[in-house]
Amino acid sequence: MSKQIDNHIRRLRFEHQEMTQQALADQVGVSRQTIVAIEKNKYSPSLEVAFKIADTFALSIEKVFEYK
Amino acid sequence: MSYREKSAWLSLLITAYIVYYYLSSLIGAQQAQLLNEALLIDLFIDVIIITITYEVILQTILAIVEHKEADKSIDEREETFRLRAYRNAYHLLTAGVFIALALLWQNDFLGTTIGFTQLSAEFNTLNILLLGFLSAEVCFYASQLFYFRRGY
Repeated sequence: MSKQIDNHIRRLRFEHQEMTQQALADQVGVSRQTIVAIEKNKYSPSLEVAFKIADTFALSIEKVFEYK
Repeated sequence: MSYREKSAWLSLLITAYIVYYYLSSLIGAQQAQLLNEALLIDLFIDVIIITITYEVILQTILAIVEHKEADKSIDEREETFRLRAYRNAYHLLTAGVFIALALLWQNDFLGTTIGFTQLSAEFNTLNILLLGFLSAEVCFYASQLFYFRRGY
């Protein structure tokens, strides 16, 4: 089976004072629908957006995204 | 539903109305035997004016109502949808151009005209080009909405 990009954004939002998707979207500079699509692994973000998401949670990118 | 999706819905409805208006006017004029080149030019101008007027007024109202989202620039996922939609529309536009060229070729080399007999080959070609353009516009907005609904 081929590898896929997975992420922990939903859990990380919960751990950061239950941050809303809209709040994360505003910080990253994308639409809420884009955050929804990323969370559901329907859309793989660009490196820039992936870094911005990781930066919002003050984590390195590999702590937010996985390739497995 | 995001602002971009609402905007695409609005543009799709406007374009669909323009297609209906154009075709119904054209067919109505033909049935009443009033179709001529001057009427077709008037119809082209009507289509341009109606499109610009409706787009400007309705999109402005939408932007005012959704001013928070409207101020934000398009994000990378929405841009991907837009580029895919342009690609799909490009195929239809190209098909329209090829059909128009085929009609011109047929008229020049075979001497027969397919289309409205009241119109010259040039105006029949113009008609096909406009229909190709309108079909491409419908395809562009419909494609965007498909990707928005699918989510990726």
